Amino acid sequence: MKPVLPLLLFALLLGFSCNRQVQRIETDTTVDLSGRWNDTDARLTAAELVTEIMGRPWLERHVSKTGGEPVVIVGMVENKSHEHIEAEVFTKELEKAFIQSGRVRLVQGGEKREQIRRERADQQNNASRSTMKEWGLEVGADYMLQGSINSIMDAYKRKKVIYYQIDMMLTDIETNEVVWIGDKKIKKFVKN
Amino acid sequence: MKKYLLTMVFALGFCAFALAQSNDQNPRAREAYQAYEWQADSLHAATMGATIDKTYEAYDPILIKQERREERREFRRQLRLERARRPVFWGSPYGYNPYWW
Repeated sequence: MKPVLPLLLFALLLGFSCNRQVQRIETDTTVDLSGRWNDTDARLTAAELVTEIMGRPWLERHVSKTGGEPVVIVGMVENKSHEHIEAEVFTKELEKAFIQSGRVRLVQGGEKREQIRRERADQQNNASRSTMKEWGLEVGADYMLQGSINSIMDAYKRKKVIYYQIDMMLTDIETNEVVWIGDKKIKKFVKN
Repeated sequence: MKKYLLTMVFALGFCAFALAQSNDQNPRAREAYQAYEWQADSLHAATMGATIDKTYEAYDPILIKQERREERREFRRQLRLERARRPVFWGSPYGYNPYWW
């Protein structure tokens, strides 16, 4: 009868040690696990690019030239790094900054725009004449935001240095002139 | 009359100059548009606001080691499966002989 108690305790200990623990943490907490691209990198990139794009003279130049706010569309971001990096995490932050500042107007692009057009087409058949939306009244963008993500990795035995460079640029759609370039550079030293 | 004509000539000259300056568009702009017109379809839309992956494989000794380990494990697993499938394989007096039954 005696060895039952230690066995029971051992079983309990084993049971508790195998339990998965989930802890909620603040979204701005830095947690580096593998050394790969993570949410902190995306957040830092977004913060820097928002500050850069909103504080540069292209905005004032456009307003003084045309008298209105610039209209921007988000184009393609090329990921030429060695990892899968989803650029939408930081491009969405830029879009949010445009809208919230009220100084830059944004037009929808990509699949979402296609969906809106499909809905408009559907309205031509199903909506009442007074609420039906017209074709050919979309706002044309003045600028397109494009970007690229590059990385360099140097590894030796259990150590590695990873360098990321995120470049975003704003180009005048009519003149092809690049009016703004912003970047974010991140360097990490990982020891396994 | 002479003065009036001179003013007219100057005004016309100025207008022509101003028009030439404002109309700086390439006369072959229509051709340029036609070259790209067919590309404004859903394929173009798919690239908007999207991340296009052109990733490369970086040299990482640790990852390479892991891959090799996985390959060895897979090989051993296949070998075990093969042995289980053909138990007579163990009975060969000549060591490994795939044709011995």
